[in-house]
Order: sequence, then structure tokens, then C-alpha cells
Amino acid sequence: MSSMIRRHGPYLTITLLIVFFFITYLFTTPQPVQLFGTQLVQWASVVGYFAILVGTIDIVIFHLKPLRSKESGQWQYSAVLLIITAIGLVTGTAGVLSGAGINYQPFAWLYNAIYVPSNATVYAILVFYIASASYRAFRIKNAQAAFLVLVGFIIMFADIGLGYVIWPGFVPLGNWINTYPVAAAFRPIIIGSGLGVIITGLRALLGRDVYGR
Amino acid sequence: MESVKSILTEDSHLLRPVFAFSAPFAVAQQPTLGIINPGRTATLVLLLTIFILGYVFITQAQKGKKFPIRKIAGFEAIKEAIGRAVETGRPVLYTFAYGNLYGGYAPQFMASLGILSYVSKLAGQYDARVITTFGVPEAIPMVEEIMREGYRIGGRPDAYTQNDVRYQTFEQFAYAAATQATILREKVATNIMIGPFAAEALIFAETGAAAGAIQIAGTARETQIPFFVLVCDYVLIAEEMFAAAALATGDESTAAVLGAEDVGKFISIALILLGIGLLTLLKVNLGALLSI
Amino acid sequence: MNTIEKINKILSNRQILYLLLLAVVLGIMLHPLGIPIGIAGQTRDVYNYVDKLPQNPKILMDVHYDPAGATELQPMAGAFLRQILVKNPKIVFFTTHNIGPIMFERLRSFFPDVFSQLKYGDDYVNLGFLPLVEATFASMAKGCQEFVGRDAYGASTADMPIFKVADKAADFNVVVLLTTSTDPIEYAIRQWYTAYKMPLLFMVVAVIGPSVQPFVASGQAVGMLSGQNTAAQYELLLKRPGSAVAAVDAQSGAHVLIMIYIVLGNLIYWPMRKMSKKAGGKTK
Repeated sequence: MSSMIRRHGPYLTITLLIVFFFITYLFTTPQPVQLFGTQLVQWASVVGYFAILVGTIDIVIFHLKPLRSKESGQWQYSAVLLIITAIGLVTGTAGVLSGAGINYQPFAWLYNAIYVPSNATVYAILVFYIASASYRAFRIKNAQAAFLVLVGFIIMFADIGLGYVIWPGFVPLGNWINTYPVAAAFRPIIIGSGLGVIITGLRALLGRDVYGR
Repeated sequence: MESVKSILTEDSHLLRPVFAFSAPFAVAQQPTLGIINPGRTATLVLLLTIFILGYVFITQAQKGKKFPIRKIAGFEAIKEAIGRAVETGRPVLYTFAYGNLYGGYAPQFMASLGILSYVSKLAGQYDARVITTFGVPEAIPMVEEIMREGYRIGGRPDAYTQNDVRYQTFEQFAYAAATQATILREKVATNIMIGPFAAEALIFAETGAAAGAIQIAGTARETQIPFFVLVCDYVLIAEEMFAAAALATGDESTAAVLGAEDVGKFISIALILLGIGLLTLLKVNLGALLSI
Repeated sequence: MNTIEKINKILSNRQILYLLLLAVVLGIMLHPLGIPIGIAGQTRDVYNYVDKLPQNPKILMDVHYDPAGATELQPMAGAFLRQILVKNPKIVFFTTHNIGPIMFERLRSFFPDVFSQLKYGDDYVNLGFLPLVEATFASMAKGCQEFVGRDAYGASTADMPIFKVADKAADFNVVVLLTTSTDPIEYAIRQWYTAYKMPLLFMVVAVIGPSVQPFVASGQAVGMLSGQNTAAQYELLLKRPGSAVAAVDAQSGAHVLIMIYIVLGNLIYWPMRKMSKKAGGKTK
């Protein structure tokens, strides 16, 4: 009996909770039931934050190893990461304790001077990669490829001022392509993905998610 | 000390996000169809239909009925790709994006973990080194367990290294930069990217191409599918990822529920055709009818 | 190596392409060309919609982006705020992105002309970061002030005048979502449009524009601005060119370079393929 509870208990508990959320989502329920749902959501957010804490500890442990062993080509990067993590933790905590929150000067400087440019830079790298990928991939090998290149050019011309100068019709044409064919192409993928989500959820509910077993 | 105490009281804005929640799912103000929340009747009917169908299909699978899945080129290529990694003496990189397991993309993460279990079994059989990078903190113990089990089932439990399970970070572009660096420094021979990727998809794909790796990608995130198709050698598009996960685990029930998904697609097609017909011929908006 | 092969080698060299791209973008940013910008119908629809909002509109605005998306979304947000300012709006800001609070502060500092004319607590409020996006959306629709007891700066929301007129779903004239991801879009459709028919206005980065288009086309959103180009168009409609207009020339230059490379690549591809066939090899 106890082995059955150990094996199936967690699944049963999660299933009951999920059924409960379905009921509150789909049906009108009395106030006490809704309040209970609120409590559960609060617990979910607490679990979520603890998961981030676990992740942070895991990163620190992972990067302490090459630091201790002075692993060639790696320990310098690990040192930088650990120092920056420590600085972030200290300034963030100081900001909270001082009451200034995110407007605490050192913390705000860290974000505005380091995080914001780094984040934007890595995203900006994409333009280089798109350029090289487009050059390699847009080859007119057959009729479909030719059509793809043609439509791609129309959209690009619609997006740039030069296209408007060459022919003002590019803008409404690009708008039309985005509104009708593109939307029609994306709808089945969105529907299919949504169905996949439902099915995977059903498998989890029934305890049939065998991933990793 | 006083300031610390004031921060930790219930009133504190630090703890506000935890204690200030209201009902998780709102109840609308207008009249309803009895006990069903407005705008959710169609959702209820469709969900119940797919759930019942899925349950019926699973029961049939348990009784021995086979649910064949067509060949998926990307999935078939995984074995070849790992073999190439073994021949060149370079590692395989497996990455499955960043995020959390309680969000809308959790099913994609779970499908990716299923394929990871297959990859780690093959790695155990062929003595390949698999480095896993990801940005999902809750998945750390799951990935370690999957990899360890995979190598054990493959026949080489000692080949598993915990160091090769690398949780990078929860932040998108920090994770992207870290994985990009891993691809280049480790000189991976095979780059497998399966999961709900966002903008980092093209970063990984182009970096893998620059490193000369054979690339297999899979995502149900529609915005990134074109980028993967542009650059990678094999791509699992949307539901192919879930189908590949079913093939990877070899579980018949998993394959069976894909049948329910296919029925769901037929229902969607029927509704679309019905909606077009009603609007064109009778000027009736099916969407408005279904939002009771 | 003949001429075709030499040209192919140069074009295939990533470093040359990246250097050219960098040169074109930097060059145009330093010496803007002033290329005219056409206004798309969808952008004009958004402008007209906002223009037709009643006096004292109540707006709920989610600042759900990080620095990567700020280049495209911040100009849109600023242009929207400038347009709506003449109508004496009441705006409830919040964010469901963990970097959102920083992005809101940057928005405030980049558009002082807007925020200096709005009184905090009366005309606008910042509720800060609220986790678990979908649950937050559902709860905000039921009542923002009941849901969030304190704003981003620790002040109690109980006494704020703005919540007397802008609190529940029915109070708001429009909900504006600034986002780099499709998740909040789907949550908003489920929790705000489906349940309350709240008008939704999406401001998104260009890459997710096609994904969001089906929702706009089906009428579940009142409109969408997608990418830096539409941000520039919006700024021009307002006759207040800003950072989006300034950057569009460089964006055009990058597009043109990519198109030239594609054309050259195809011009080289066919002779290379013929040469390869003559030599008895395969062409990829």
C-alpha cells in the first residue's frame, strides 16, 4: 500500500490540483474556492523563485570547480562570472535594505552601464547572422525557391525607405502579405502547437509522461 | 536591524508579489450559460473532446493496438549525427532553451527531455560525449537523472560526467552567449537544439554552422522555425517534435495520444471550413457564436 | 582559380560581410540619408484608433520587454504616450518581465516631456513587477488596486485617486502590451479579450509580428505595431520624429546590403553549378 502511495501519490496530487484549476477556469465557483486557488498560485510563485535560487547555487558550484583546479582556458571566465554574481548580489541586497530598490545608484549603474548594453549587443549580433544565413540559404534552385526570394524581397522593400522611393506600392503590398498569407501560414502552426500542449498536458495528467524513465 | 525587520513584514513591498495575489482566474461580470464562465463553453467542449479521445486512444494502446508514426527525418538523423561525433572525437551539444517548467512552453521542454533520454542512451552505446546546456533551473535534477540513466542503459555508466550538465542561467542572452561559447570552445561535432527557443535560435544555429557541426533543430515556436529551416541540416517542425519524443521513448501510449492530436486538427479544419461557409453564405460569424 | 571562383570565395567570407555590414550601418548612422518612409495601413489604423479614444482615456500598459527589445518598443511606447497625452489620460503601468522595472524607469527618463505633465498617483501609477503573467492578467482584470496593495515604490495603492476611475476591466478604454514574446499576447487574449472583451493594442518586435497577425486579423486585437519601421511610421504620423526615424536609414542600408549579397550569390550560383557539373561533382 505504502509503495503504491509513493509511486502514484505525487501524480494523483498534481492531477487533482490541475483538475481543480480547470474547474475554476471553466466554471463559476464560490468565493472560498477561488481563494483556495489564490493560495495555490502563491505557492507556485514561491516554488518558482526557489528554483531560480537553486539555479544560482548550481552555477556557483559549477564555476568554483575550474577555479579550484585552475583549469586552463576556463578558470579566468569562471572567476569573472563569480565576481560579477557577487557584486550583483551585494548591490541588489544593499538596494533593498536602503529602500531605494532598483533606483539604488550602484545597482542602477550596473544595469544601465553593463547589463543593458550587453543584452542589446548579443541581440544585435543577430543581424550579422541573418545576413550570412540569408546569403547561404536564398538560392534559386527551383520555382518554389524563386517565389520565396521574390516574396522576401517584396517584404524587405516594404520595410525600407528605398522600397517606398522605388515604388510606393511596396508598402501596402507588404502589409497585405503580412495580413493575409503570412497570418494564414502561421495559424496552423499555432493551432498544432496548441494541440500538442493539450496532449502533453493530458499525458502528464494520466501519469503517462515517460520522459526520462 | 529595524530596516531588515520592516522589509520582512507582510506589508513590505519586497514580499508584495507573494502575498498580494487575488483569484488566479477571473470571473467575468456579464451573465453566463449557467455555471460555465462566459466565453469558455467552446473551450470546455473542445478540451473534453480531445481529452476523451486521448484517453480512448491510450486505452487502445494499452490493449496492444499499434499507432504507427511516419519516419521523421530529423529524428532518424540523430543516430547518424552522434556517430559522426564519435568518429571525429568531438562532443555532441544538446541544448533546450531557457524558461520555466510551469509556463506555456513546458510541454516543449518535456518533449525535449524525452529526446534527450534517447540521445544519452545512444551516447552510452557509442561512447559519445554529450554536453547539455540549458536555462531552466527546475530541470537540473531531471537532466542529471536522464543523462545518468541514459548512459547506464547504453552500457557506459562511467562515461557520464556531471560537469557536462551545464545549467547556464535564466537570462536569455546570457544563456545564449554561454551556449555559443560552449559550441566554439568545445568544438562540437553535432549541435542538437530542441526546445522553445526565442531569438537565440539563430545565434546557436549560425555558431554551429561556423563550427562545422551537423545541426538538428526542433521547435514549436513558430517565430523561430524559419530561422532553423534556413540554417540547420534537419528540423523538427512543431508537432514533429512531440512525435519525435514519442518515437524516442518508444512508448505506445505516447504515440497513441498523437492520434488524438490529429483528430483535433481535423476538428480545427472542419471548424475553419464551417466558419468560412457560414460567413460567406449566411453572413454569420462562427467566432461570435462560439464565444458563448 | 577563375574569376567566378574568386568572387565566390570573397562573397562566402563571413568576415568581409560582417565588416561591410558594420561599415554600412555605422556610416549611415553618422551621415543619415533622410530616405522617405511610407506609412503602412496598419500603422495608420493604430494612429486613428488612438486618436478616436475619448477624453480622459483609461489605459493599462504592460512594459514586458528587455534591453534587446527596447530599440523597437521604446519609441513606440513614447510615441503612443505623446499622442495620448493631449487627452488627459489615466495610465496604470505594470510589468510582467523581471527586467521590466528597469525598462520603465528608462522609458520615464527618455520621455520627460510626457511624465512631467502627469501627476503620479492621479494620472499614472507604476505597479512594478508582477510575476506569473497569466495569473496576473486575470487578477488585474478583476481589480488592480485590490490585487496590488503597494506600487513599485512601496506606496499604498489604497489611497491613490487613479484607482477610483481605472481599476477593473470595464474601466479601461484600451490595454497596451509592449512585448518581445508571444506568451503575454496569448495570455491577454485568454484573460482579457475572451472574458471581458477588453480592447487590446499590441506593440511587438518585428520578429513576432507574423505570429501576432492572426489575432489582429481575427479582430481579437484593435491593432498592432510591429518593429522599428512601424515605430518610425508612428513617429512621423505624430510629426515628432525620434530614435526610430533616426535608426530606420541604417536599417534600410543593412537590408539593401543583404539584398545585394543575395542577388550576387544567385548570380554566382548558376555558373558555379554548371562548372561543378562539367567537372563531374555535386553542387549543394
